[in-house]
Amino acid sequence: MALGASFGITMGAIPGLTGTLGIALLLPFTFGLDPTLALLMLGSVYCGSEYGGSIPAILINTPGTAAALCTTFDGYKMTQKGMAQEALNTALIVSVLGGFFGVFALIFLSIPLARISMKFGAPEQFWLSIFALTIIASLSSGNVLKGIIGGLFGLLLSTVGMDPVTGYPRFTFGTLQLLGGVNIIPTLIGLFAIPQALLLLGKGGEGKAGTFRPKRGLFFKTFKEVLKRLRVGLQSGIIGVIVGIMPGAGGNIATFIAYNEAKRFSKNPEEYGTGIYEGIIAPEACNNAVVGGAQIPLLTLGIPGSAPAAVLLGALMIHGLRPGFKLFSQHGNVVFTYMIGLFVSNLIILLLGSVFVRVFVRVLQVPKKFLVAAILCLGVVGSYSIRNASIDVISMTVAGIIGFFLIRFGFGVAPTALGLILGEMAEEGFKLSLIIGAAKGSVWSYFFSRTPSMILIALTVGSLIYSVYLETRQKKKENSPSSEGTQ
Amino acid sequence: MAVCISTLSFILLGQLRGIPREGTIFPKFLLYGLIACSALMVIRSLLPGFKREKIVIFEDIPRFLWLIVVGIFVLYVVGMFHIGFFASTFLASLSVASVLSKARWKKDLMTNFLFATGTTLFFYLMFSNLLRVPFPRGLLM
Repeated sequence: MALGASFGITMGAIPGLTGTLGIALLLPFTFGLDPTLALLMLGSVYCGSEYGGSIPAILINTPGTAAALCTTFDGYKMTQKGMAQEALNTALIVSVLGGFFGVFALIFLSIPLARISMKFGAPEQFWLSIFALTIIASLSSGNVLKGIIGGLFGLLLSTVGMDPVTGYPRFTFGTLQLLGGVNIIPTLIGLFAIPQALLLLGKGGEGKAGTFRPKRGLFFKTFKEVLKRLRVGLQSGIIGVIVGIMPGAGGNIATFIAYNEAKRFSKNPEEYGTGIYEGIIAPEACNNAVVGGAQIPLLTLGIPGSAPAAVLLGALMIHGLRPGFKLFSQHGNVVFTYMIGLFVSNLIILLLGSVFVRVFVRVLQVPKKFLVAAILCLGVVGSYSIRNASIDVISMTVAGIIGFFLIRFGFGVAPTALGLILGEMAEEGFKLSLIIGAAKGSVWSYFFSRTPSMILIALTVGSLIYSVYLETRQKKKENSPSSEGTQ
Repeated sequence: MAVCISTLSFILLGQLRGIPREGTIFPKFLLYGLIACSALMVIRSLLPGFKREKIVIFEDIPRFLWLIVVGIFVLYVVGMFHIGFFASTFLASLSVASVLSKARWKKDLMTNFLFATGTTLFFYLMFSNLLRVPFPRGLLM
């Protein structure tokens, strides 16, 4: 388990390498192991990778995994404030707490939650992605219109390639390599890592990447800070479990929803994105709770809730375990040992992480010239190693240069990344709803009248109204004579 | 900017010609959305009290240095498929570190050389040896 957790943290921390890849790589090594031990090893990789993704997100503004994207918003800002160690400790503690929450849900709520998730169909898939897209308003740093343009651009990028329904190529400009579409991970590496390396060239690329002041007793101090904000963690954990259960959604979407909801329920929403603890607690608690949530439909129905869960499904099959009711009745010892083992695995991550944090944080003492070169090389390696395809490296490079200009023109890269992540799910849900709705006789009623859809539509509308209200309040504050005086 | 976005959207709309309706409904919806947003940008700029945003692309970044680093990066990406991944990684990391060393580049050559060797070795051990990633092999390696 310790080996699996360390391997998972490493896989998550290197941009381009994912938990899915980590599980797939370790799978052959588990053939000779007892099924319980094999599952525990792979489960530890999954848990470790979810935490590992936050490390580069906090230190170099580059998410190690797509689910760690939201962690960059406040994590990197904390690093810039000289609070990298606090940020890393927060990510570690809430990752473990989120992991506990997910496993708790997995043990006690598997069957009722799996039944609820079955009520989610194509229209809900579409509305869920639209709901997640409403976060664009809060990512746009004062210019919602630019945020929407960035989001639409990202959604448009996700439509590049062969259309799954008609089989016709879209926006490929006659290039065969683009038929498979724009791969998300290399593009995310390009959008986040490369502009960051180029921005480090500021002041001629001299000096060190950031400030780091080693402090003693910081772990317990951070733990107290996290405890003060336990409500945010709990709320995000619930979101993580619910979204994790939904097939195809996974941590990528869940973290955006959790961040947006934490901001919406906050008394000081304007502080989000400036480097606050809540901005790390929400996404990190959520993406680790997804680990437990995604395994609920996996173990109860054989439907994986996320990409790593899909590989875990393969591992279950290889070891002669068929998901479903019989898994619990015939192999109860394996399943429940695995579930309890995931608790232990999270504890191991806490121990390993508390040691690793002291090492990771020293990245900031590396001279900028080496960090720039390392980020550029790592971007190339990470994007190439996913599919061993040259097009991924090219799309990473293009996305990197575009990303730099998006930042400088005030669009930001986060809305584009969000659009790219959600695009496939939104289009799939949209098209399936159209087809099924037409077959049922009314597209409109299929889209709008189902209870889960109506809940999601209400949440989306509420989120939009609240965002507009927040922006208006913010503008009023900025235009008030007192703020002008301070400026 | 609004004109650029609209022009690009119209060009992309043209790309969707000949594709059945099922395949174009979603991207068309997005492209019309982009056109509508750029129209809104124009309208907003015409409204009284509109404050023009200050856009500075190379404020604190020396333009020449930026161009050199981007140039090395593009050459690295192109080069890895021609001269091989490890050779190009070594050359790219050495040249980026040397360029950013500026006047001290001769003095820092040894450190930069060690850094480039270490980076290449790490990628070889971690990705090529352990993870079995088949990196492109070119003229050199």
